[in-house]
Amino acid sequence: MKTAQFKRVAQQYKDFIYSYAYYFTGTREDAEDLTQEMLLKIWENMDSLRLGLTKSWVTKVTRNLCIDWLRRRGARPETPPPLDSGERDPDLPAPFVESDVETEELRRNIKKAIAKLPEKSRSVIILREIEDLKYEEISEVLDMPINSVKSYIHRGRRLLRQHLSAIYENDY
Amino acid sequence: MVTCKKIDSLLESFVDGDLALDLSQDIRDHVADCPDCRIKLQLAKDIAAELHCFPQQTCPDSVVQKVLARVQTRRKTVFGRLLPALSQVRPRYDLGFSLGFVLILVAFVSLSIYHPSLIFKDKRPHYTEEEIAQAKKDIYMALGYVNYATNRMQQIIEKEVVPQKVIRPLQKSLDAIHTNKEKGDTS
Repeated sequence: MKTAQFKRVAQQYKDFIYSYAYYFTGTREDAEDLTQEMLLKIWENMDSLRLGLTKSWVTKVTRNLCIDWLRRRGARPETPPPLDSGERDPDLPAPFVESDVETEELRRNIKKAIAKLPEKSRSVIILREIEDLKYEEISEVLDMPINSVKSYIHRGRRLLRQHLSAIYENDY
Repeated sequence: MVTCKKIDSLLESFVDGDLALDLSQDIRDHVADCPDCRIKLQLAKDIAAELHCFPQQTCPDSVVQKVLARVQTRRKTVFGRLLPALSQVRPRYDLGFSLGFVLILVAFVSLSIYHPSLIFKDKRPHYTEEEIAQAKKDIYMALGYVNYATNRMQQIIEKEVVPQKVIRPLQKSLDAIHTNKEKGDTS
């Protein structure tokens, strides 16, 4: 009974959780670990939450787990950023024109740069641009006014641009 | 007149169309004449466009299977069996408080019966052996005085008060009766 209910809930949220964790950490291994941790939390809280198991709750707890991961990671030396080579990233969409290597490289660099943003800007950009949450939903999850959400998105994108402009100094 | 620095901080809002019309026009004018800002604007547009193309990732099914396996393993242990029961009880704060109150009450009653000194403070004064001996001496002395006073009082009553207040008036009365009797006989 509980297992069936859990499977249904896991099916509903697993991609959302995994995707958030993946863009937050920048690696599949960490994303899988965090998703497992989050699904365990859902299992443990399924009885007490019942009606309270909403997307908002899932987002909040996932974000907290990611922040904890960030703290733990801060205690040990940074792992080398993934996908430094010129290989295609299978997690990113292929450009419309197969020969458009520049677009693919830009996407890869954006993805790497997202994982280096300050926590709030990173979370806001993932939730808005990738998970497609509304401003109101993000505002509720992060407990901040909508204007602050917008401002964090702009700040995050500005940081991405500043980070990328150093790479593409001569290309643009 | 907007500067390059000002433009740099506004480009993302400009791309999203969040700026006032006149400010947007100022930026357009500036960018038309400034190659550096034009490059920045292009990059800002590219980033905004590319971010929208980022797909939601698909979580491998093995993750859910691993979680289920972990849950099953945990359930086999004693603690794992207790955990769901505890999680059921957790929201029952009223039950918790009642149980806690009863436990505290039982502990209090048990202690007051078997170890009252732990609960009730002994308020009796504590005296040394010398003080007690001195107090006994004082009491014996006081009793001696009382005894002496009683004996003395008895002597006074026997020797002075009784003859003076009882025997003499009686004697007088008897004498008076005798004299009255003698007078009656003569008459």
